[in-house]
Amino acid sequence: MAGPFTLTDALIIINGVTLSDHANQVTITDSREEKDGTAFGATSKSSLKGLGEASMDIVLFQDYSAGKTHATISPLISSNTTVAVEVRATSAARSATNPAHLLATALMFDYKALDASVGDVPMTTCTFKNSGNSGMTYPTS
Amino acid sequence: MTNTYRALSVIAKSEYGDGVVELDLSPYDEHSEVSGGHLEIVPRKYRVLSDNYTAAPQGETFDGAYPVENEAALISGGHLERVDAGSDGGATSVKEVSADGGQGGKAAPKQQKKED
Repeated sequence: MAGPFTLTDALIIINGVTLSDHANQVTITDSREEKDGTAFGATSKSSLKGLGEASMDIVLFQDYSAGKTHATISPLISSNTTVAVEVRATSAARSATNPAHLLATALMFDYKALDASVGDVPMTTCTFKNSGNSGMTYPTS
Repeated sequence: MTNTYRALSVIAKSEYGDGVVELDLSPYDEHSEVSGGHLEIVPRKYRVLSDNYTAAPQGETFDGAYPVENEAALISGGHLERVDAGSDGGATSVKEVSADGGQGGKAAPKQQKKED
Protein backbone atom coordinates (compact mmCIF):
# COMPACT_ATOMS: atom_id res chain seq x y z
CA MET A 1 0.00 0.00 0.00
CA ALA A 2 1.63 3.21 -1.13
CA GLY A 3 0.57 6.73 -0.28
CA PRO A 4 -2.38 7.85 1.81
CA PHE A 5 -5.26 5.45 2.03
CA THR A 6 -8.67 5.08 3.59
CA LEU A 7 -9.10 2.40 6.21
CA THR A 8 -11.82 0.11 4.89
CA ASP A 9 -10.48 -3.42 5.22
CA ALA A 10 -8.56 -3.58 8.49
CA LEU A 11 -7.82 -7.00 9.89
CA ILE A 12 -8.34 -7.59 13.62
CA ILE A 13 -7.36 -10.89 15.23
CA ILE A 14 -7.86 -11.35 18.97
CA ASN A 15 -6.67 -14.58 20.56
CA GLY A 16 -6.65 -16.19 17.14
CA VAL A 17 -10.20 -15.09 16.32
CA THR A 18 -10.87 -12.78 13.41
CA LEU A 19 -13.32 -10.08 14.44
CA SER A 20 -12.75 -7.60 11.62
CA ASP A 21 -16.34 -7.85 10.43
CA HIS A 22 -17.54 -6.71 13.86
CA ALA A 23 -15.13 -3.79 14.36
CA ASN A 24 -15.24 -0.26 13.07
CA GLN A 25 -12.54 1.56 14.99
CA VAL A 26 -9.08 0.80 16.27
CA THR A 27 -6.47 2.93 18.02
CA ILE A 28 -2.94 1.64 18.36
CA THR A 29 -0.59 3.40 20.73
CA ASP A 30 3.12 2.72 21.13
CA SER A 31 4.64 5.17 23.55
CA ARG A 32 7.60 5.75 25.84
CA GLU A 33 7.41 7.34 29.21
CA GLU A 34 9.00 10.78 29.22
CA LYS A 35 11.47 11.42 31.98
CA ASP A 36 13.14 14.68 32.86
CA GLY A 37 16.94 14.48 32.81
CA THR A 38 17.55 18.17 33.21
CA ALA A 39 20.42 19.03 35.56
CA PHE A 40 21.52 22.29 37.17
CA GLY A 41 23.28 24.48 34.67
CA ALA A 42 21.16 23.37 31.75
CA THR A 43 19.64 26.02 29.55
CA SER A 44 17.17 23.67 27.91
CA LYS A 45 15.11 20.87 29.29
CA SER A 46 16.53 17.41 28.60
CA SER A 47 13.88 14.77 28.05
CA LEU A 48 14.77 11.11 28.39
CA LYS A 49 12.85 8.05 27.33
CA GLY A 50 11.61 5.75 30.06
CA LEU A 51 9.71 2.50 29.85
CA GLY A 52 7.64 1.64 26.83
CA GLU A 53 3.90 1.18 26.84
CA ALA A 54 1.78 -0.29 24.11
CA SER A 55 -1.96 -0.55 23.86
CA MET A 56 -4.79 -1.21 21.46
CA ASP A 57 -8.31 0.14 21.80
CA ILE A 58 -10.76 -1.70 19.59
CA VAL A 59 -14.40 -0.77 19.09
CA LEU A 60 -16.69 -3.59 18.02
CA PHE A 61 -20.36 -4.09 17.33
CA GLN A 62 -21.71 -6.11 20.22
CA ASP A 63 -22.89 -9.57 19.21
CA TYR A 64 -23.85 -12.27 21.71
CA SER A 65 -23.82 -15.13 19.17
CA ALA A 66 -21.45 -18.05 19.70
CA GLY A 67 -18.00 -17.28 18.37
CA LYS A 68 -18.65 -13.56 17.99
CA THR A 69 -17.87 -10.45 20.03
CA HIS A 70 -19.03 -11.18 23.56
CA ALA A 71 -18.25 -14.90 23.47
CA THR A 72 -14.72 -14.18 22.30
CA ILE A 73 -13.91 -11.10 24.34
CA SER A 74 -15.64 -11.53 27.68
CA PRO A 75 -13.52 -14.49 28.94
CA LEU A 76 -10.40 -12.38 28.52
CA ILE A 77 -11.30 -9.80 31.15
CA SER A 78 -11.01 -12.33 33.95
CA SER A 79 -8.00 -14.10 32.46
CA ASN A 80 -4.42 -13.46 33.53
CA THR A 81 -2.98 -15.40 30.61
CA THR A 82 -1.72 -13.28 27.75
CA VAL A 83 -3.15 -13.48 24.26
CA ALA A 84 -1.92 -12.19 20.93
CA VAL A 85 -3.73 -9.27 19.32
CA GLU A 86 -2.92 -8.34 15.76
CA VAL A 87 -4.17 -5.53 13.58
CA ARG A 88 -3.29 -4.89 9.97
CA ALA A 89 -4.37 -1.98 7.83
CA THR A 90 -5.71 -4.39 5.24
CA SER A 91 -6.66 -8.04 5.33
CA ALA A 92 -3.87 -8.88 2.88
CA ALA A 93 -0.88 -10.93 4.03
CA ARG A 94 1.78 -9.28 6.13
CA SER A 95 4.29 -7.41 4.02
CA ALA A 96 6.53 -4.38 4.13
CA THR A 97 3.61 -2.28 2.92
CA ASN A 98 1.05 -4.04 5.11
CA PRO A 99 2.84 -4.65 8.41
CA ALA A 100 1.13 -6.23 11.36
CA HIS A 101 0.68 -4.24 14.53
CA LEU A 102 1.23 -6.99 17.03
CA LEU A 103 0.85 -7.22 20.77
CA ALA A 104 2.16 -10.74 21.19
CA THR A 105 1.60 -10.82 24.95
CA ALA A 106 -1.47 -8.75 25.64
CA LEU A 107 -3.84 -8.58 28.56
CA MET A 108 -7.27 -7.01 28.36
CA PHE A 109 -7.76 -4.34 31.02
CA ASP A 110 -11.03 -2.79 30.00
CA TYR A 111 -14.18 -4.28 28.50
CA LYS A 112 -17.11 -1.99 28.05
CA ALA A 113 -19.61 -4.67 27.24
CA LEU A 114 -22.31 -2.20 26.25
CA ASP A 115 -21.92 1.43 25.36
CA ALA A 116 -25.04 2.76 23.71
CA SER A 117 -28.07 4.97 24.21
CA VAL A 118 -31.63 4.23 23.23
CA GLY A 119 -31.92 3.59 19.53
CA ASP A 120 -28.17 3.15 19.08
CA VAL A 121 -26.39 0.16 17.68
CA PRO A 122 -24.75 -1.41 20.76
CA MET A 123 -21.00 -1.12 20.62
CA THR A 124 -18.32 -2.47 22.88
CA THR A 125 -14.83 -1.19 23.49
CA CYS A 126 -11.95 -3.32 24.68
CA THR A 127 -8.50 -2.20 25.66
CA PHE A 128 -5.44 -4.42 25.42
CA LYS A 129 -2.09 -3.53 26.91
CA ASN A 130 1.30 -5.10 26.63
CA SER A 131 2.29 -7.59 29.32
CA GLY A 132 5.90 -8.54 28.80
CA ASN A 133 9.01 -7.06 27.31
CA SER A 134 8.16 -7.40 23.66
CA GLY A 135 5.92 -4.33 23.49
CA MET A 136 4.38 -3.48 20.16
CA THR A 137 6.07 -5.05 17.17
CA TYR A 138 5.49 -4.54 13.46
CA PRO A 139 6.32 -7.81 11.72
CA THR A 140 6.22 -7.81 7.94
CA SER A 141 6.20 -11.56 7.41
CA MET B 1 -10.00 -28.75 33.20
CA THR B 2 -6.84 -30.76 32.80
CA ASN B 3 -4.15 -30.08 30.25
CA THR B 4 -1.37 -32.25 28.85
CA TYR B 5 2.25 -31.53 29.74
CA ARG B 6 5.72 -32.94 29.38
CA ALA B 7 8.36 -32.47 32.04
CA LEU B 8 11.50 -30.64 30.92
CA SER B 9 13.58 -30.03 34.01
CA VAL B 10 15.22 -32.64 36.18
CA ILE B 11 13.05 -31.72 39.13
CA ALA B 12 9.87 -31.92 37.06
CA LYS B 13 10.90 -35.27 35.57
CA SER B 14 11.44 -36.63 39.05
CA GLU B 15 7.92 -35.55 39.96
CA TYR B 16 6.01 -36.29 36.77
CA GLY B 17 8.21 -38.76 34.87
CA ASP B 18 9.47 -38.58 31.28
CA GLY B 19 6.18 -39.13 29.47
CA VAL B 20 3.16 -36.99 28.76
CA VAL B 21 1.07 -36.30 31.83
CA GLU B 22 -2.39 -34.92 32.32
CA LEU B 23 -2.46 -32.36 35.12
CA ASP B 24 -5.12 -30.15 36.58
CA LEU B 25 -3.05 -27.04 37.23
CA SER B 26 -4.36 -23.61 38.08
CA PRO B 27 -3.50 -20.89 35.54
CA TYR B 28 -1.00 -19.47 38.03
CA ASP B 29 0.71 -22.81 38.59
CA GLU B 30 0.75 -23.58 34.89
CA HIS B 31 2.35 -20.24 34.09
CA SER B 32 4.89 -20.73 36.84
CA GLU B 33 5.83 -24.24 35.70
CA VAL B 34 5.99 -23.36 32.00
CA SER B 35 7.80 -20.04 32.29
CA GLY B 36 10.17 -21.62 34.80
CA GLY B 37 11.15 -24.23 32.24
CA HIS B 38 9.77 -27.17 34.22
CA LEU B 39 6.88 -28.16 31.96
CA GLU B 40 5.86 -27.67 28.37
CA ILE B 41 2.32 -27.90 27.09
CA VAL B 42 1.90 -30.86 24.77
CA PRO B 43 -0.29 -30.15 21.73
CA ARG B 44 -3.65 -31.90 21.58
CA LYS B 45 -6.27 -32.18 18.88
CA TYR B 46 -9.05 -29.60 18.53
CA ARG B 47 -11.93 -29.17 16.12
CA VAL B 48 -12.78 -25.67 14.91
CA LEU B 49 -16.46 -24.85 15.48
CA SER B 50 -16.60 -21.21 14.44
CA ASP B 51 -16.07 -19.62 11.05
CA ASN B 52 -13.60 -17.02 12.26
CA TYR B 53 -10.88 -18.93 14.05
CA THR B 54 -7.56 -18.55 12.28
CA ALA B 55 -5.81 -21.83 13.08
CA ALA B 56 -7.95 -23.95 10.76
CA PRO B 57 -11.17 -23.77 8.73
CA GLN B 58 -14.51 -24.53 10.39
CA GLY B 59 -15.00 -28.25 10.95
CA GLU B 60 -11.32 -29.10 10.56
CA THR B 61 -9.07 -30.44 13.27
CA PHE B 62 -5.60 -29.30 14.22
CA ASP B 63 -3.06 -29.80 16.97
CA GLY B 64 -2.78 -26.89 19.37
CA ALA B 65 -1.03 -26.19 22.66
CA TYR B 66 -2.95 -23.67 24.73
CA PRO B 67 -2.59 -22.44 28.29
CA VAL B 68 -5.66 -23.44 30.29
CA GLU B 69 -7.17 -19.96 30.39
CA ASN B 70 -6.80 -19.41 26.65
CA GLU B 71 -8.25 -22.81 25.92
CA ALA B 72 -11.17 -22.12 28.24
CA ALA B 73 -11.80 -18.79 26.51
CA LEU B 74 -11.83 -20.41 23.08
CA ILE B 75 -14.02 -23.32 24.14
CA SER B 76 -16.52 -21.17 26.03
CA GLY B 77 -16.51 -18.73 23.14
CA GLY B 78 -17.72 -21.45 20.79
CA HIS B 79 -14.55 -21.55 18.70
CA LEU B 80 -13.03 -24.90 19.61
CA GLU B 81 -13.81 -28.27 21.07
CA ARG B 82 -11.44 -30.94 22.19
CA VAL B 83 -11.52 -33.88 19.83
CA ASP B 84 -10.32 -36.19 22.56
CA ALA B 85 -12.74 -34.87 25.19
CA GLY B 86 -13.39 -37.56 27.72
CA SER B 87 -10.31 -39.56 26.88
CA ASP B 88 -6.84 -39.26 28.33
CA GLY B 89 -5.46 -37.42 25.32
CA GLY B 90 -2.74 -39.98 24.82
CA ALA B 91 -1.16 -39.44 28.18
CA THR B 92 0.99 -42.24 29.46
CA SER B 93 -0.08 -41.49 32.99
CA VAL B 94 -2.74 -39.36 34.55
CA LYS B 95 -2.03 -37.10 37.46
CA GLU B 96 -4.19 -34.66 39.30
CA VAL B 97 -2.68 -31.74 41.10
CA SER B 98 -5.01 -29.80 43.31
CA ALA B 99 -4.28 -26.12 43.08
CA ASP B 100 -4.74 -23.82 46.02
CA GLY B 101 -6.76 -21.28 44.13
CA GLY B 102 -3.83 -19.94 42.18
CA GLN B 103 -1.75 -18.74 45.10
CA GLY B 104 1.32 -20.73 44.21
CA GLY B 105 1.39 -23.61 46.65
CA LYS B 106 0.33 -27.03 45.47
CA ALA B 107 -1.29 -29.83 47.33
CA ALA B 108 0.35 -33.21 47.12
CA PRO B 109 -0.21 -34.68 43.67
CA LYS B 110 -2.47 -37.65 43.40
CA GLN B 111 -1.29 -40.10 40.80
CA GLN B 112 -3.48 -42.50 38.92
CA LYS B 113 -1.57 -44.92 36.75
CA LYS B 114 -3.43 -45.64 33.58
CA GLU B 115 -4.44 -49.25 33.11
CA ASP B 116 -3.10 -50.53 29.81
